[in-house]
Amino acid sequence: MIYFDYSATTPVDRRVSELMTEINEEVFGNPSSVHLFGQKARGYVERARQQLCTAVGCDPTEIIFNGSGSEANNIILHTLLYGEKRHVVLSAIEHPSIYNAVKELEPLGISHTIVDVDDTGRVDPDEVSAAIRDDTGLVSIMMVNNELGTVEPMAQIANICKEQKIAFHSDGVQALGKIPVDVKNLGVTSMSFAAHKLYGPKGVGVLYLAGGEELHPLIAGGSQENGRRAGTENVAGISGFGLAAELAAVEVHDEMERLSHLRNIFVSNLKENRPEVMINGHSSETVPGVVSLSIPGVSAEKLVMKLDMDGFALSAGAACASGSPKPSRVLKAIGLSDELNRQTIRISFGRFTTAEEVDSLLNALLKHIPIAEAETAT
Amino acid sequence: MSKREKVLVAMSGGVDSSVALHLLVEHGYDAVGVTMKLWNSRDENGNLVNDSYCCSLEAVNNAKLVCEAADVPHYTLDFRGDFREKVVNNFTTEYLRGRTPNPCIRCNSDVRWNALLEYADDLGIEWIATGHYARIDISQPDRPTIQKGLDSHKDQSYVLWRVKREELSRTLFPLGNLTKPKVRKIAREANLTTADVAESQEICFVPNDNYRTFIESESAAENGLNGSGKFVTPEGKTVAEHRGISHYTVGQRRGLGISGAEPVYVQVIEPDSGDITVAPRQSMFFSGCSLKDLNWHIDETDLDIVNELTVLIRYNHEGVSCKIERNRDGTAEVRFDEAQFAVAPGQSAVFYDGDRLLGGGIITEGFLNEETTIGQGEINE
Repeated sequence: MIYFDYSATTPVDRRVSELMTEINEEVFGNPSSVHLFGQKARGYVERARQQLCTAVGCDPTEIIFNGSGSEANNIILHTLLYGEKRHVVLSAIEHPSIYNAVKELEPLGISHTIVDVDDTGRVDPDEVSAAIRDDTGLVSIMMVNNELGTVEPMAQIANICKEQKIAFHSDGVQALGKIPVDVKNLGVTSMSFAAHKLYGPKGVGVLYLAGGEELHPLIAGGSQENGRRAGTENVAGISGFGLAAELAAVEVHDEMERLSHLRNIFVSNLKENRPEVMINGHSSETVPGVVSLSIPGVSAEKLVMKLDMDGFALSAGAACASGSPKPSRVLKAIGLSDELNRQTIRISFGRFTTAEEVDSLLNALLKHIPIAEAETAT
Repeated sequence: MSKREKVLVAMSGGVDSSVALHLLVEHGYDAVGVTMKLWNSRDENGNLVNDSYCCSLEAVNNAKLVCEAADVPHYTLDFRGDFREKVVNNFTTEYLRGRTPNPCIRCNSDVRWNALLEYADDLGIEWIATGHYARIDISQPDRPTIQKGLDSHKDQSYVLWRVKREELSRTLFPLGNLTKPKVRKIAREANLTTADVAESQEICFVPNDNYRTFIESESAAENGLNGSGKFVTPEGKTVAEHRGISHYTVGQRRGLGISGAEPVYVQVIEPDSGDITVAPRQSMFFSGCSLKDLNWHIDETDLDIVNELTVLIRYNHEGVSCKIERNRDGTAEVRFDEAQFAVAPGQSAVFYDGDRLLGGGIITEGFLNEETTIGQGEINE
């Protein structure tokens, strides 16, 4: 079985899992405890916080550990309930943890405006600007789209928000580890991350919050994370995230080059053999490891099943959309017809993907994509 | 090593299909499990609309667990659109026309078999299998035959008559030779998660087993077809008002709200006038019925040489000897050797020769027995 679904999740890097095993076996203290057991655990949590800070370029007080990227997104949206400005601007291709969370907040008085994207999945910053109202309290635009790999025009959106003095949140879950992320350069006021997308464990998220401000916690209780997220810290998970972020930051440039190369070979070979195949997303503003493919006449659902049975793991549309019949909202937003939507698969490469694996995937795909009938010349 | 034969197994998340999969794997098949999502167990607001186990997240997850434990791939297939269009809409329409449909039969023939074969073809899989209690003989691949399941209490061949004969040649029923207690025992011994899942008898998409409320909500948009009307005697005398024909089924006694010296039953429902004829028990016997939509699992030329033609006019009916007269337009008339209680239009008349399923049709009209005889086979209420 070969894995081509790194955008859904990643295997835990051995270096990370070794550290986590060590912590699980030897460091059981509660980081809030005064005694040596607690001190030891606290050390691991704070070391991880520093690693995250180095990886994304912020201060330790600006990192809030929590349970997932989805939780981090929910924490930020939830703060709107306590402010004067109760309108949020988001893109049509946000992750469900923004998109659906906004809908959940609607009956509580949080209104929203959805900004469309172009056929590559890019938001037009002018449209963001136009969507901002007097009562807009937040702009939430993801940095990298999970289904397409498209990178959004972060700097321009950040400038607009800065000029208008509006908070700019970005879901960075699909960005960290794949491309460099420097929160200060990006100009975001908050950003969310998840460990499992960068070879760390599942169930650990981070919210970066500029200035390390106080906020109304989504999960109230003890004073963990400076009172911003209650619950005894997941010490091993947090440490795993710290190391995973450190490793990713060190390796990101080489990985980008390697994965771009693999992707280019794969796409050009595929196009050469099956010219009718369409590549979705942006040609240059994209993370290197993600390929969204529309194959006219081929059911993505069945193709994913066949490839699974052949030993290749990948997704139809996005992983979260699998098993549901609804065409992907993201693919709809870039203008794909419902038919083409159901003929779209997502392949994502990662740290352990080799050239040989990509080659065997190509052969498997060619086996299942019939050669389009050539126009008969008379 | 010879290449193992592949089979696509329809997994409902219940004990029967789990054991079917288990047995196929034990017999060396290369199995793939699929669960068809046919119906929403929650509405748009996320509220449970159905207390049915069928199609629930729990059922799908249980199917996945059974497959995972057997090291077999499992996929969920979405057939909600087809099911709604071909089964549920028909169910509502039939009731609104005063008929008593059997949605499970229609689901098998119009949704499940097509779907399973389509996916099997696409995935390069030779066989399909389900957990039905019926036996199938495919030793002559072009002339497959179904026999009743060995467990006479559980026999499900009745719901298979409408499946096209040619679609059976690739079908396996691993439970045909087993009894339900034996199936439970196998499930427990194999430690299958679903070993103790309760039997489901209700119609999977009808909440709380209350089809009347369901029809009402489904037909609310459909301009009052379900309006009330009159209960009349066979002589044409009005005895009471009723709540709308979809609330009643031929043979029904309870809930009519008619008091009198002797109990009365629904004898005939007239969808056009809205009249429902009610009659005492001795007037509830039918000498035969007319049929449409016939489907045969036997060469029609062989029908005339069947030893003893028996027909079942409802699920769990014990059957009655009969004669059939087929018409050129694909309809038929059946004469029972002994008059039968309550023949309900919309139900399936299913023919057997001994244990062998021959085919069936949908009842369009029951022929009231001219003499008042006390016949056999009252509906258990």
